[in-house]
Amino acid sequence: MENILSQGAVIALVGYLLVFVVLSAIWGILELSKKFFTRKTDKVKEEAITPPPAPKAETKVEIGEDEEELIAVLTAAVAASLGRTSTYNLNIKSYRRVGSSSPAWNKISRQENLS
Amino acid sequence: MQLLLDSLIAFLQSTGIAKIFAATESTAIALGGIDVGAIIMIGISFVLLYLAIGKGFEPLLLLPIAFGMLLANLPMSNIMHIEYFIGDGTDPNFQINYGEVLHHGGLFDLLYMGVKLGIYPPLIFMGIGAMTDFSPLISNPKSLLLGAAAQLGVFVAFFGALLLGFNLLEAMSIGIIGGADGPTAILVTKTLAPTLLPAIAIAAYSYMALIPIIQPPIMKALTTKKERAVKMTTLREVSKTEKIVFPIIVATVVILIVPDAAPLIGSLMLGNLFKESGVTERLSKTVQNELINIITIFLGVTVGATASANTFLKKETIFIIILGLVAFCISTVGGLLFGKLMYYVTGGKINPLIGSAGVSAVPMAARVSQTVGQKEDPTNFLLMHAMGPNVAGVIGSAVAAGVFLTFAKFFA
Repeated sequence: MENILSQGAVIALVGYLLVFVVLSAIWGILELSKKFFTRKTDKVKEEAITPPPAPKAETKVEIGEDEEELIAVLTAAVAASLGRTSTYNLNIKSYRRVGSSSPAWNKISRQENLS
Repeated sequence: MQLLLDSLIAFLQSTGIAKIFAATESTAIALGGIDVGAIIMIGISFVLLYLAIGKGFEPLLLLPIAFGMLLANLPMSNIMHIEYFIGDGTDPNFQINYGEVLHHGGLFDLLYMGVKLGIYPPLIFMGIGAMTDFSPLISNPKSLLLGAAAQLGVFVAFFGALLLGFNLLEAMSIGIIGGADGPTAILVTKTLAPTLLPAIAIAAYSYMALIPIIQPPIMKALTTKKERAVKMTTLREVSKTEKIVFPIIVATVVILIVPDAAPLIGSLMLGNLFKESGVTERLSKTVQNELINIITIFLGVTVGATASANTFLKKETIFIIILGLVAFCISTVGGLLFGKLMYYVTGGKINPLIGSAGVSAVPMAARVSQTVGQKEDPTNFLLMHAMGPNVAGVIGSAVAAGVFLTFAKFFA
């Protein structure tokens, strides 16, 4: 019995320490990789993010006349996706086309999920 | 007329009702010829069904477990032959004769091979991996330490089980309940102490459902008002590359150090890579929906079906239930104390409440941190901060399982 208990104490102590060692190792590597990967991807990130349309934002919009229809469509789309709100509460501050890099199969799958 | 009477008697004798009132020596718990064991087990399955349906305790697992238990304990149902897998439950070196299982086994016997061979838990982990967003952890990797600290209950309950007279392998299986991770507990137990499987699985899943009741009192007792009100800085945004590299790094590091954690960690990270890579959307969708659901059904009913009166109605089951609770509480304490340590080291930047989320029950434990934090300050949002230690806990308990499986080879 005592033998088993001393074995158990060793297993418990070493085991708990090992869990710490393994997770700390991952922590260390993550910290290292953070420096490595964030620097590289900064540029890509900026391009990939759509500026979110700001609801209820007070803006000074400068737009050409031919863009008005597009803005109206965008406002309606945002209002529809937000649900329960009116286009009067929304102001489109800016918009930008985002290129799509996903393959056709992914698009189909996404459409399946949406419909 | 005689023929009619004879056939009627023969039919009555073949019913389960007759069997209950004609218990033989093969049934372990019988009183005056009545199979009390089966009756109690059927009663327990009713209680579990009520907890799953009426109280909503982890219904996705508890319901199949309870129903499997009911089916297996109805006399003469012959739906599960647990003796194929554990013999009479007394021989620890029992060798399974798979030929016999394949030739004579029924539906549940064949499905149970997925548990016995350790196939289901990793597949469930693959689905969990595909559902888990590791970005709170990537943006704040310090929370990995909280996920490690919250495994304290695993090792304390393991030692407690030894004190209560369980052998090493059984104690390891009981300890792993403190990891608050069903598939991990099932994988360890089926390997080390298969006779305890139903009790441990039921304890693990029930306590996970009870986390919102178990944790808050401990959290309030161990932290001060000031600590609970700490607001943490917003997490930085994580790039796609980091999210893709993370599962690859974790799988490589963990499996290099603890090879026995390979099935769990490997599947978890593969599932996550399906999700994050962005090129395997269909696979990701399958593992986090259809596959995990199918496996959950198989796992639940068969684990429940192994709960026979012989293996379940013992004082050991009560010990397991108590030790499981101890394990959960101490894991919470371990995470909280380490959270407090980090609070002091960082000069009050970390809210210790996120430490308790280090027990891996995702996302319940993180939600509890959020709720307790908001009671102190309704404008405090800890959820995303708590998700870091929470998902770290999943990795932590899988590592703890790997450590136990490794030690089991050396010491037993």
